[in-house]
Amino acid sequence: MNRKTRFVIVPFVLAAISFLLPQLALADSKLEYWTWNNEGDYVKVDDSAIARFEAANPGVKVEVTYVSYGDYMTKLKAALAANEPPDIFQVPWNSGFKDLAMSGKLEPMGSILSEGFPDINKSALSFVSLDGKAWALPLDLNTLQIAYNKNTFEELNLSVPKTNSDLIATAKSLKDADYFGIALGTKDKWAGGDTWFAQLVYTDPTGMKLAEADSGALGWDDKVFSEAASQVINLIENGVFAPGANSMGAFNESLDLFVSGKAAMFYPVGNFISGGIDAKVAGEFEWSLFPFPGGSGDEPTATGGIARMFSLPAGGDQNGLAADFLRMLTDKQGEEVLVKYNFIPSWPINVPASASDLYGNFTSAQLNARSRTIYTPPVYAALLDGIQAAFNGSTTGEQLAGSMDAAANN
Amino acid sequence: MKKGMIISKPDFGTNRSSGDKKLGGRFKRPPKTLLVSISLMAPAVSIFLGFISIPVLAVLVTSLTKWTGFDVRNLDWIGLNNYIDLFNDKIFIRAFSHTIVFTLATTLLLNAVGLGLALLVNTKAFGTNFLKAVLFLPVLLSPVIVGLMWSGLLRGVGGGLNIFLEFMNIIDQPIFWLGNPKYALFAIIMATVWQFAGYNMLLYYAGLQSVPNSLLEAAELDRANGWNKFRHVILPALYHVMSVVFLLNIIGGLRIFDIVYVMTRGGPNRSTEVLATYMYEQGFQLNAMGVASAIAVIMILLAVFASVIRLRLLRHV
Repeated sequence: MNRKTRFVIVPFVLAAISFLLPQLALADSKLEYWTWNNEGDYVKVDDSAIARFEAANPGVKVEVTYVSYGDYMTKLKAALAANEPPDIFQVPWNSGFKDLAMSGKLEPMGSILSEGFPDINKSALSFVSLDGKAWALPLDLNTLQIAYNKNTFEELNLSVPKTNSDLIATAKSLKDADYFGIALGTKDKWAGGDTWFAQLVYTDPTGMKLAEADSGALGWDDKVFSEAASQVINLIENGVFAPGANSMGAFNESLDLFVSGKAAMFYPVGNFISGGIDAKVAGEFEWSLFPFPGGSGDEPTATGGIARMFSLPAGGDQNGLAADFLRMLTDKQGEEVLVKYNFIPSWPINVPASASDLYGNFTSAQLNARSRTIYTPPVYAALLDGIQAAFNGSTTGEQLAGSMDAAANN
Repeated sequence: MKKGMIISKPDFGTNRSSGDKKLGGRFKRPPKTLLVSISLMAPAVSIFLGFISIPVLAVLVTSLTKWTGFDVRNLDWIGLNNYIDLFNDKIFIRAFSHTIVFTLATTLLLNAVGLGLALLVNTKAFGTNFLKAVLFLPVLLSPVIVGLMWSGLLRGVGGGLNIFLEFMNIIDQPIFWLGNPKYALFAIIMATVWQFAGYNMLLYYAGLQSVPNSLLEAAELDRANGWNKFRHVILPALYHVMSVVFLLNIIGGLRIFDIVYVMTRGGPNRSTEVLATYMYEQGFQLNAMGVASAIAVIMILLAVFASVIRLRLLRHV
């Protein structure tokens, strides 16, 4: 090769390399994304965001890893402890979130959420905030209500119960007609705990005491908590729930009772399970929702919280890209996809006129939905045990609240 | 043996000649032999260290700390507090006692049923080969599958057992087997025995093949009946097999998790909580890895205790 040829080829090769190297580097880029939602419409929401993200970022692949809910925290903890976390990961809404947020393994999201994200509702942001910092993106919200079989209610001339007395009377009418009351599966524990949160809405009209007790400013043996437990026990004793709650899972045996028509009501139901109910009911009957009632004079109010939330690893190399992916979930198109599949975004939206009645119900219930989370894991565990004991007839409201208080002080 | 006959002990190298003494003891082997010994031991030792000793040591150390499990830099040394707290923890005491009840019940039932089935298939009557295969089938299933199957069978509404009992006019209201603290643990014990009886059967069946026919024939000549043959010939011959099977069942019982988790999640109201489910809850739901590790150490100690008992029992056999 003579000097002239070399003079032409070398710059050409250098230019080619400088052009190709970033491309090669991009081709190697991969965003690892962990979630436990591998069924239902959340998959469609994810797929849509992934397709748009990959189109906007050629060479970057989003690799989704589904981990079952039961194993999720086990694996996430191991990955975080080993300093090999995924680039984006779903985080649980339950009491374990506090420890996770305080672990030092999550990237504070405040500055990220201030750029290119919609205005997240304050209540949703407060849910994911600890020590004044947001630790996750709350994507969407849920409300928990009682599903009821409209056909059975019409057949028996029953109206939607507005108070616990109405609910007891409704359950009695259903029992007389050989139907079960509310199908509830407390084997998974958490669903039983939600009956207590549902009653706490009415025994604590301020809505502040849950947070106060969680922060240690109030004892868990406070009257509002024991009264909520007593209300649940009263409903159990009056046959409001289908028998055998402790032997049924939240979304299998108990849901089967409802979709088979044997039980006329089912709890707890939010938008996360409505698609599954529709699929199982398969048009056999019509169903709708009403908030768990309380005492007379109380406005029926649903409980709710964050449905899905996502965090990024502290100091993650790819946090910039990961934040871009989260923006795809929350931008205008992301919002449209969420609404299309009956999910409630955690920011203000205009409900389209074409939305289903059920979606209208979800969003209106969300307006005043009350918290269903205890951040102190041992207290939450004591509540769930206490509710199982209540279904076995072996505790009182005072004992249940007392055990929560004891768990907090241990 | 003739009186006065002297049997010399075999020499395994313990009686050193004067030439050996020049080496100055067993560790002064030629370097080549030492190298070979080390290289032969290395794989086993590495596996033992890597997969058993170091993890057990790590669990032991973690049990002396307060740790949420997220970041090893946040370990707080608290000494024996986790152990002290555990023995003051009512749920732990319940889990401990359930584990002991479960282990004893399953060990006794599995051995009784397993040995009975082994004796049955050992008769070599028509169909016993088929029976052997069928009885072993549940062992091949995952405990999760078995748990789901039994959960379905024991369902309150629409469960196979209740349908059968209603059909036989034994009950008129469904029984919620897994939702009632009176029955739940018993139901799990039954499911476990159903799954693993075939495994014990196979071990006992293998043991039965080594019972010398000459002894059985001698017993027959002495007009021993079936029970006496079983008691005085078969059972003593199975002593070693039985001790191993008992130990395996005890260890299996102590670490039972999956079938309990699937069938009841330890409920209702902790009535089926066992050490492993409580350990899981502490470690992965309550983020108390130190407490979970303390429970793991207690489980290891229980298993070691069972092994020591077995070795002591076998010492004189």
